[in-house]
Amino acid sequence: MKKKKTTMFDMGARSMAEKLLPVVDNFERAMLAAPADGEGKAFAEGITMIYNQMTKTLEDLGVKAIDCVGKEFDPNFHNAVMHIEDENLGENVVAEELLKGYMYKDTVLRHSMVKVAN
Amino acid sequence: MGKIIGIDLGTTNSCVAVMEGGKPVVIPNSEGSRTTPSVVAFTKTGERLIGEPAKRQAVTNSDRTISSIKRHMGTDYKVTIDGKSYTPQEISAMILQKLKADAESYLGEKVTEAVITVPAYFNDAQRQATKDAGKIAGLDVKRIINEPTAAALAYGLDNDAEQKIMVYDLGGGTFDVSIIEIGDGVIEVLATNGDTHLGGDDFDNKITNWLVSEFKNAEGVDLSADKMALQRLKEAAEKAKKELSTATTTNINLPFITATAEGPKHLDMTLTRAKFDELTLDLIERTAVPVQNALKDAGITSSELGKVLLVGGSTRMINAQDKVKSLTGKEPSKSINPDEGVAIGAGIQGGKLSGEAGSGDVLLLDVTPLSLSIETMGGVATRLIERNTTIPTKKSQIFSTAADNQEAVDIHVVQGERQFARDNKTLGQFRLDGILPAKRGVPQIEVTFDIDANGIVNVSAKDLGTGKEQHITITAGSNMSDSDIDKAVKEAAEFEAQDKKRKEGIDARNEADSIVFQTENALKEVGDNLDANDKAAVEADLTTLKEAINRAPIDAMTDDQINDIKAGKEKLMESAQKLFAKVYEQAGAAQNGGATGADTSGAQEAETSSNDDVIDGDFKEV
Repeated sequence: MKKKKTTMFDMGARSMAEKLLPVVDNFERAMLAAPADGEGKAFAEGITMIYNQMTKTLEDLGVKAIDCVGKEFDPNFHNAVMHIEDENLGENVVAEELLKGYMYKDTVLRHSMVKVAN
Repeated sequence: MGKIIGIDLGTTNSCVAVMEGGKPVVIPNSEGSRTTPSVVAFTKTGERLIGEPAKRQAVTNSDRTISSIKRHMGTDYKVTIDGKSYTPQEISAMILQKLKADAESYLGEKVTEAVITVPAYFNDAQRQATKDAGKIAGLDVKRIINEPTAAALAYGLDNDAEQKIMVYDLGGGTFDVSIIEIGDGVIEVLATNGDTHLGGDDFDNKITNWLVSEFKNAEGVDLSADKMALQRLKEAAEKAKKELSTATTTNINLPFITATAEGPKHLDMTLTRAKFDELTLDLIERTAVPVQNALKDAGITSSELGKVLLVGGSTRMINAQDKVKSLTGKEPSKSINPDEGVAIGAGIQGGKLSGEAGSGDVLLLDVTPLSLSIETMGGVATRLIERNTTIPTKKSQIFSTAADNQEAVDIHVVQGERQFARDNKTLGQFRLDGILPAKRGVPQIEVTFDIDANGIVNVSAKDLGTGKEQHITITAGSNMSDSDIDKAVKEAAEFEAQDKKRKEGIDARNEADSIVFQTENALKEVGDNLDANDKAAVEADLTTLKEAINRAPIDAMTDDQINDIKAGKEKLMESAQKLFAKVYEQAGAAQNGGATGADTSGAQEAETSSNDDVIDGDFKEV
């Protein structure tokens, strides 16, 4: 009975976390476009702090980013949307991460969207 | 008996269902999804991937990733990977293997039997290939059923009163419309039509293209050149499409979609349902023609439809539902999840076959749409199975040789309503040889037609004397559209009078031939015992009749020639009476009487070649 409750809770949590991910994505995009200095700098720093708080909260809840760049491509964790030939990189490795992937506890919540080499 | 699972083996996605506690339940796969992409991939390390993982690496491994293999079932197409060649059945078997494993995992027991669905227009070769795929995967395929039939089962229409229904199936990559007649445990496919390359992706693309052009107009940037941006647009487009099925407007919000010299750019647009309908109007229109053609082929108007069922995820779109309503005048039934309806129906059929509670007792039976015959002497199509016979069905009949010492018979199987084999459609041909030398009409060749519940036709010929047997399974494209069937029946009616007359002629000729043969035999055996005058009379009549027969070509007998033959036959029978009496005397003396019964029937058989029991086959000589 307890296990069932845990399972159901996890299912609910997964569903919510999945819906929050696009918001996290957009935050990251905002950060990339943040002005390094000048007028907007303080504001950008503020946004960065909120972003960090969000990431920590998610981690505490069991949502963790998948580290994939440079690793061997694994379709169980990664979703390849582009393919390139690059002699500087190894065989079948993730060349670029286009969208961050996340785990929820020990299952994949969203696969990393990647560009694969060779 | 374990559970029989129902499998919707789709072009882009597959789904499995099973009866549990009296209700059909969709079985989630090992990734937790209720549908599994029909994609198979061989990685560079030789690992085999099926379903979602295969789809996720498709773009990095396109040479060794196989999708939409269903399009090639029943053909000689082969896929070569790492020097090994695979048939479509083998690839489909890999998908089925994963579905089987996931089902076993869910049920906690072994699964060895299944019902698999196929499009209603699939021919014998395609059905057989699907069955074979199941076998390779370790599944005993108990039944192959049509997808529209499965949908009807899911809606419980098999137990309703008889009615005609339309199934509008707009799914992953294909559009199929079928009109079936169902009820009281019987089902008949009346017409099928569709568009083999129309599906959900096409609707997504319309939105994506609109987003690109709107953005270009507003910001002067072409997002289609940016792969990452395009990817986000595609996902947003699909999401927007889905939202518009329940809301009348949706917001597409993509911050930081791209960066220019001026700084980052954002995309924030509103898409209304009206605009979406406008963008996809031509796609929706493409479903109209097949619907109208199907109605035409079935020979009915939309008002004669009892129900319209929606199948396939894309039927969730409001404009698709509206189109169906305007084409048929009926509110479509959509209470069953359109992605799962076909699998659910297959699961119900599996339940019926295994006797599960809640499945109902009555099995759906298909009917064979056209009569099946073999070609006999004179090119006549001798019917073994009448059209509209419910299948499975089996029928046997005894045939014989047409000439003395004939060593082989050619079995020519045809389908259609015409009286003559050459006016019907050839389904197949095979030869049974090794027939022991004997007089014509003596060997007993038992020809059996066996149509199984999947609609696959098996024809066999067995020489009851030697025990030798040959058979074929009909794999030619024997599925005729309903318009072809109607045409065949109509033509048969038109030509009925003509065909009847010609058949009369052939029958008369065959009968006369038979009498000539019997008379000549009798003359040889007991002719000398006959009075000289009587003998002369018989010989004269014999000659006259033989000439009459020779004058009449099988293909083009005139009425006069037919009459001549008939008259000649009558005359010979009269004059030969005494001759035959002598034959009986001889036989009677040898058997001490009591054998007259047997003799009489023997004579009857000899005289009329259109007797029910034995028919002279026009089997070609070796």
